[in-house]
Amino acid sequence: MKVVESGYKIDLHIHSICSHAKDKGKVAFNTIDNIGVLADKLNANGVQMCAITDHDAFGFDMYKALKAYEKDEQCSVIKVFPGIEFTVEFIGEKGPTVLHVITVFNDEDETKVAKIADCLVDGDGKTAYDKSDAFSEEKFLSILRCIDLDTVLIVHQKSSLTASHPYKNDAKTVGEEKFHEFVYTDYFEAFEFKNRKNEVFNKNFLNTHDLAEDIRFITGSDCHDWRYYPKETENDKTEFVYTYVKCLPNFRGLVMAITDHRRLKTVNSFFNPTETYTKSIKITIDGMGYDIPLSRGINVIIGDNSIGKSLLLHKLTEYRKQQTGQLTKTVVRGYDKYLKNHNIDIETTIPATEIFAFDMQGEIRDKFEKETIKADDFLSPYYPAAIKSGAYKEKIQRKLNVIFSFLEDKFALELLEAGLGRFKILDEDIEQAESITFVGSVSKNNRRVGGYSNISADLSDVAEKIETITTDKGSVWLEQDDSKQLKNIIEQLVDMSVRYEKKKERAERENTKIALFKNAVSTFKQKYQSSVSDRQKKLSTYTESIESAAESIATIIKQRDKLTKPDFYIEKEAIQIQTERVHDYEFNSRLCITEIGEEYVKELFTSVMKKGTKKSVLEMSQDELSERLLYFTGAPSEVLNELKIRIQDKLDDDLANKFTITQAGKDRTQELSSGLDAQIYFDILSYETSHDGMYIIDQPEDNISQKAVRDYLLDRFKIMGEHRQVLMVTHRPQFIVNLDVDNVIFIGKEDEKIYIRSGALEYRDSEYNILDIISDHIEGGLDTLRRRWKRYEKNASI
Amino acid sequence: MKRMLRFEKTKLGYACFDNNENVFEIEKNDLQFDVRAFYQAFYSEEKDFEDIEIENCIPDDKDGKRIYNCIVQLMSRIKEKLAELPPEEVDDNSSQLENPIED
Repeated sequence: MKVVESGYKIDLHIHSICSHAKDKGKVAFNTIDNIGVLADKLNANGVQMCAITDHDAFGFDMYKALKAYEKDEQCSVIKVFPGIEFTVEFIGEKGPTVLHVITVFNDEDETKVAKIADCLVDGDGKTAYDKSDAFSEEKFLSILRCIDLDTVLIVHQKSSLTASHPYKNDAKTVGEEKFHEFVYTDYFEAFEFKNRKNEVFNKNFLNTHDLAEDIRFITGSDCHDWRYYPKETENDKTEFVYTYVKCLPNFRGLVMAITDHRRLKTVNSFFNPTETYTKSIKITIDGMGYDIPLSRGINVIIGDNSIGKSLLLHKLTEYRKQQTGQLTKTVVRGYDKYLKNHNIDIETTIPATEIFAFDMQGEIRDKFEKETIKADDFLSPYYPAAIKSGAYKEKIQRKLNVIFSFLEDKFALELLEAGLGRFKILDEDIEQAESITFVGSVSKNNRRVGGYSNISADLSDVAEKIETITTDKGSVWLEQDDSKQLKNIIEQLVDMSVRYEKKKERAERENTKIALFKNAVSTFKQKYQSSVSDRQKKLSTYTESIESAAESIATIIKQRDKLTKPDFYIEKEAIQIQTERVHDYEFNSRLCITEIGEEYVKELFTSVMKKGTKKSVLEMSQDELSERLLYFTGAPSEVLNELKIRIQDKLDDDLANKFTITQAGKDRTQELSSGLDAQIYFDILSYETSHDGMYIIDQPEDNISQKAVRDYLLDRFKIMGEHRQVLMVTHRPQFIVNLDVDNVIFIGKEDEKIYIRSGALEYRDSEYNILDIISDHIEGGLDTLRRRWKRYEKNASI
Repeated sequence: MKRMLRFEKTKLGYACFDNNENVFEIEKNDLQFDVRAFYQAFYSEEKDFEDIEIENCIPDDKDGKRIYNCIVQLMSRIKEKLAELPPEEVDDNSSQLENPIED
């Protein structure tokens, strides 16, 4: 087995009769003769990796008896480790405190395992306690040195970390200071608890103290009577929960799992079991066949430059990047030539339907920097549907129309007033009879024409709008009765519209007649005036002036009476923001405003006026409006049109749908305008679960800063590895070691011959060792491994 | 309430006084009637113009009489016009529409 296919159920804390010195009769049943009972119980509970860890004692025969079941195909147990539960006295700020330390040893060197018991006793064959029924810390370490095997140390912490009264022998009894020393020096690989209920308390503690990376928890049954396994004894009421580890079933794997909290779970959910995945890559190189197993999680391809790593990704995906022009024919020709020259045949192909995304080398950087993919192209599927602002706009527009109509009439009156002229009063008495007046009271009614025209057009618009409801793609949701009713309404509206159109035409014809009449009067007047005396003309002009003045004033008064000052009131209405949550981002579809109402209508006008304008637009004269309208330099007669345009523009802007992204209340949209943000890209990618398939990425380090890798990218990939299969080419050791990848595929070259090695980080066989390969072939790999050597082997040579 | 004004001679010509306030004046040297000023004095928005009476306090002044008559005539015509102006929107009735009469 080279890669991890599933988590393994473990129990590293089981007692046998060898604990009788401390536990007396509690362990009386657990003899070597009864080892079959334990094996049956382990099998019944599906335990796959386990250890008998007796108090300060090691029964080699007992260990061997249980280990024999590793080979029993009927038994779930596939790995048994040697172990001891040491009683160790530590000196903390509370003085000497005895802790129980479960110590699991590497099982690979059986000669050393056979001698473990010898290191525990003194010359008389008694347990070599140097304290009262306990080892001093120094003695404990000297015993470990004597045993000379790699170890995993697990300390008791049966009560939760938040408990005010910890159990006897729990790590926390040593005092806060020493406990922190344990945590920050990684003294113990893990803390052991048993009760399922404490899992939540412990996790909560880790999160609130930001210790999730520093403290790992595992569970152990602490079984003292195999008949009742996994209970400690017959009367044990504790609700026990097993721990699963994600690793190969060997000691290296166990160490790696126990030193990474992401590899330890109380449910076996390390991989997504429903996700389709590619099981292996079949390659033949110069006649040598490789069937490289792939993990369901993160697979990394490493190797020297130009060895063919990118080629492998492109060939696996059948050069599909050619379709988007990202892979040129020249490069493909070069790849094929390379394969031919090295006699390589890559048999496996990954169908497009099984690929979630493939970011080839430099592609993400291009997406961000060159914006070859606009942010919207990638993000648009995540936004909710745009908010339809038509209804809001109509309400506001209606009010604006009333206001504009008022202003129009008001300014027209002002004009009429300004047009009231002068005439000369007669300076002599002239007989009234001699004059004829030519002031006609019939005038064209253009307002009526406009009114009818507007009604007709508006009715027609409404009919069209309803037509859209009944015919567009959403109409399938419309109930049949409603659809019928809407069609009737459309017919009625169209009829009405036609009726008002005819009214308009009649009014137009009337206007034409009036024009003709006025023309006739004017012609007659000219004729008449040419045939009367100067005195008669004078009287006639005077009478006409009075008539004209009277008519003008009467008209002004009439129109003024009809003028009703409107208000700004419209009913207040909130405009909801539509939100889709993706990971910890909110994808919002919204308008610029979140409420319409009287204040908003007022604001529309205030926004286009000069600062400090206090007077309401409804009180302004045309000249005043010209003066107050921001940046207006035109003629006063044009000011109302300009005001309408400005307000319409603002209204359109305010009611335009906008897509925004917020994260914990902070608007991230601005960051997107300067290019797609890499963090959002990977956040969304890692939490995307609605689309199946493998994520392939070629050298993510080319696209992202070291800091970004450290700060968030490793976490994102870890999450992605739990959801889907990942295939990555990388040169950066952090991606391999810190990511604790599930599978490493190394492409090497020796004597011009290409070869492949692969396996989980902990994998090694007689030919190679994956950690050695990383250390030898990845620049900086050795340093990275050194920094974290403790995670792998305490006695490792690196 | 009836608004009472007095028509009197002034230094420049003739004027209407409302409680001793000169509200509208015509100069005798040019006899120009400023219709806008007249409108503002008697008919502007805040003025009560429904019932105005102007008392001619200089009935024997011949020029004054012509001016007074002009003002009174204008006011009378305005009153008549306000009464006679038809409503602006005269709607067609629907029967006409059903059987439109071609002009």
